[in-house]
Amino acid sequence: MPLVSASNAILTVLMVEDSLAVRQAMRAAFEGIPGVRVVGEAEDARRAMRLLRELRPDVLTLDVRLKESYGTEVLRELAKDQMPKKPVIMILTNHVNPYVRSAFRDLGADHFLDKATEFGTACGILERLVAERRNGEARHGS
Amino acid sequence: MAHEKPVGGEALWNAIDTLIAVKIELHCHPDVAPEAMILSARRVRSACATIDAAIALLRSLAPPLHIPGGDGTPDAPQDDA
Repeated sequence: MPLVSASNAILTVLMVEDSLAVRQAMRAAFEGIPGVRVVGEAEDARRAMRLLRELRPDVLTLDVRLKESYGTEVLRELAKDQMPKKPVIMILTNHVNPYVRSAFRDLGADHFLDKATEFGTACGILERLVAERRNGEARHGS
Repeated sequence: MAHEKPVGGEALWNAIDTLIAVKIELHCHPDVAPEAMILSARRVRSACATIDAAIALLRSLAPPLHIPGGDGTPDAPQDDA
């Protein structure tokens, strides 16, 4: 699972997803968005927390079912953490029933998307976050 | 490294994830014109490899074929000549 430098990136993303095939496809799609850099990948909750503390990404994409763990464990740990700035939390999952959606919303998820049918929405959210970041930098720079 | 073979529901979710990976690989931005050619050979090959993985996973979940009245092996094809 490669880690890359976040230099020159406007928006850094950590992907937490148990399927290698999905991670590879998501990385290619996300890094096709100008300004987005995938800085790390994790397939389980423990590695996800380590990378969150180490990399401080702007965005966390998180699956519900992880290798030998669940996305809820990551959000519970994240809630306890004293990070100065929490990432935008985007759930991308197969498990889109109302019970799961409600549980993740209660744990602080900002977006809850069906990875089979709403992947385009996920890309759109990243594009919007890049645009907001660029606009903010332009305002501060002028 | 030894890998345990996933069973039942877990294997089915893995197959679904593999198909989702193909869909993400084929994802196309809505602003791209309908007649535009967008996929590189690398992406097509990658999508095909992912479809192959999904087929293998689904085959491992499908029930074996039993030929009625036979011993489980299909009849040899008839020669018309």
